[in-house]
Amino acid sequence: MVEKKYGKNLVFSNLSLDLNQGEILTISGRSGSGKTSLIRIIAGLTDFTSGELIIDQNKISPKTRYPKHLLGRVGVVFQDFNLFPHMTVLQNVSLALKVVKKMNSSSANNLAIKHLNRFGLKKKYNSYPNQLSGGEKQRVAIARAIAMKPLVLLLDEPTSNLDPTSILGVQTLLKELADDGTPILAVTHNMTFAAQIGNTFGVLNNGVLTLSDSSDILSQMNEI
Amino acid sequence: MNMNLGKYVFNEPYFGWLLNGIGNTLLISFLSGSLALLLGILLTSSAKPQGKPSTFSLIFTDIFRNIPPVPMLLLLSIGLPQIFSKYFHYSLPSGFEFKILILGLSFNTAAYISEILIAGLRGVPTKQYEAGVSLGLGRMKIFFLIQLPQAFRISFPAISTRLIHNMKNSSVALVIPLNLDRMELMGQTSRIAGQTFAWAEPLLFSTAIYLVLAYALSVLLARISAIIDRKVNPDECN
Repeated sequence: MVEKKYGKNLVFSNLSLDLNQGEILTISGRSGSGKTSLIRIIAGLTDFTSGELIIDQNKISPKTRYPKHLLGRVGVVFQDFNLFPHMTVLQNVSLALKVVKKMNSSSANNLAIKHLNRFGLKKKYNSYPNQLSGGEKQRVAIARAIAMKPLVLLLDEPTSNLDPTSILGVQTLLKELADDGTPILAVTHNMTFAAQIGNTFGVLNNGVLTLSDSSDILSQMNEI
Repeated sequence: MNMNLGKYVFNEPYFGWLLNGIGNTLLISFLSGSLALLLGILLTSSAKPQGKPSTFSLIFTDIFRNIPPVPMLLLLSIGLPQIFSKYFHYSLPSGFEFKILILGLSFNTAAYISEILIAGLRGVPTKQYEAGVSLGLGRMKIFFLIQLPQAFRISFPAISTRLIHNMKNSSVALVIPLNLDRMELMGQTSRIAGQTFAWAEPLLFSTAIYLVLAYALSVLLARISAIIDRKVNPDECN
């Protein structure tokens, strides 16, 4: 259960959620409702004001530092992808494998290639991010996060920069990852996407998160 | 008065002295420029991820950017030995002036390079840092592998200007007592003038050489800049 304030502005309080293996939780809400803040808190990129976060039995509170060993184990796919523009696709995916996981260069490259192939990026190893389409960048960003074998995959507005065909591709990919057991939390404006991909649904409104097993809850979004 | 380049420039031993001076100018420029670049990068690496300089970096920059090179080099090459001799009864080894010259020039240039790189660091989106954090990379790894290449591309034209300036600044070595075989171009020019009382010819020659060296360095750095541009892809990835 966590609370987040920016100065005196309360973003959310008493926010509580569990994410289990293979689960895809989508959280929708209007702009400024705190969806991105929630992802950033779980990823250790933003502090929270009070409460407790438990990731893989590691208890994190505002007074304790985010455990270093969890950084890299909580996969994040940012809204703008945040690929490294000076590195090729292969280097983007293999960098953390070499530097963080200390894999030798050939093992890291082989693992990166395996993930890139899985995501349909076989001919893009040596391309630079600016040579890719939005959908391809999205898949590289997912491959980069997934290659680290994350405990959980967090996606911030995964469809905002994508065309309908690419959205379908990402949906398929995320379902495959969930089938493999990776828990996924996606925050999104796109209710169709949320309804199609999720097996748990949440709506964040006025600092309150309402969760449901039914996508009917997303109709609340029309009333917000 | 007739100019006599043949007598005062292209004549031995003067021409040999000038060639030696050119070689020393290149050596001093290369060593002090490289050290300045290294120091500038290290100072920048101590900045916050968003580009706020560290206290140490600020103090270093304030000291070495605000002291003119001539008094600094005089203090280091003449004042420092006196301080060592008077208070520590220790004589600095012969030839130390050349090392002091390299250090002094590099500290001065490093102060500027650090400021330039900090500005470049601020031009790299913070999200690049966050992407590195989310992958589990440490602060220094993120700086050297992710932020520095991008900051370097942004800053390189301004850094090039400072490196050219550093080469031209090597002429202030004229004021410090270097060994004859370590004198740079301006020192050798002055040496010829001191012996022959002819200033115009060796000065004309050395000024032309400085122009050629500075131009050649600017062409070289422009090429390096183009390579960096190609390697470090300029477009933001969205």
